[in-house]
Amino acid sequence: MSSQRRPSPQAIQLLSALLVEARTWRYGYDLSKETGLGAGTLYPLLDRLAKQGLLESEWLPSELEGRPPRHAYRLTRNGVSFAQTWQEAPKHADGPRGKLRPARS
Amino acid sequence: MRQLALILGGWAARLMHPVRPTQALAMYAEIENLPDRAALVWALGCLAAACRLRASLLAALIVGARLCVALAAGLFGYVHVWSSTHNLWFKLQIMSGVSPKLPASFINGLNSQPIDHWVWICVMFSTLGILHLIAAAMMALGRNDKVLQLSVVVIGLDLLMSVAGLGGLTLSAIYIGLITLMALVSAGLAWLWRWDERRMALT
Repeated sequence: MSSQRRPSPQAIQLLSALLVEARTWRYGYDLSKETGLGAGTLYPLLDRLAKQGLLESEWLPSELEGRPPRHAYRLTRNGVSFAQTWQEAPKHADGPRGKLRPARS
Repeated sequence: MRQLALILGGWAARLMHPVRPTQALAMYAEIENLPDRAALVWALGCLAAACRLRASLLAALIVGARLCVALAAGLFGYVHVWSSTHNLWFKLQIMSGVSPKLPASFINGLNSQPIDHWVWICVMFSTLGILHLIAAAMMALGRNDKVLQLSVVVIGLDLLMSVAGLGGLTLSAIYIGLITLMALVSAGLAWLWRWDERRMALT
């Protein structure tokens, strides 16, 4: 279930980073570098977005031989429209309007 | 550098796992997949995140109590190693003709028993002291399982001491009482720690 309230600036930053290549699996470290968010902020956010159905996650095999699988994340369809909504919404808006309202699940 | 990153990341993952298992595993997996320097920076960030996540008043009190008990047990162990080895050392000095600058009553006490008695005392009490020092270190690290195992060994050694006639029953009973108290405190603090983890995992 996605919230109607404006996400935190960090969440918008993260959603924007994920939106650049919406259907590509992304790793925690790369997202942290891109957004400047530390592990302590990034992972709880990823967890919350996944619980809201905006993100999907999967353990993918590492590209490096002999290394353990990495946890990867990408936006769901709901997540893409939610991210687009908030990326376009003005900063003072307290909720998305009209057809861009994120779907309830 | 890589090894250090893995150690720090391991600590972070262990601290975080009971509260946020997926996050702990995901963070640790990143370390394994990063180049050395980036892995170390990431591991430090993970450790800071784990400490922040796990920080609570109760956790601070538990760690504080653990450190206080560990300090007391460590001092107890250190005094046993120090005093028993010094007694043996003074006895050897007296036997070799050197008279150490000690009170006469102390020298008389040393002379009242043969050297094998002091060797036996040194071995038993040093062993007891070292076991207390190890137990103190385990207590400080929060390794309740090791503290309980060491307590059983110490109780066994105390009983052996009383059977061998060293220190008498009263001394053994005091030692058994102290180590049992330490084991109970350790188990209680470990239970509280797990309760705090469960409480945090639910929030």
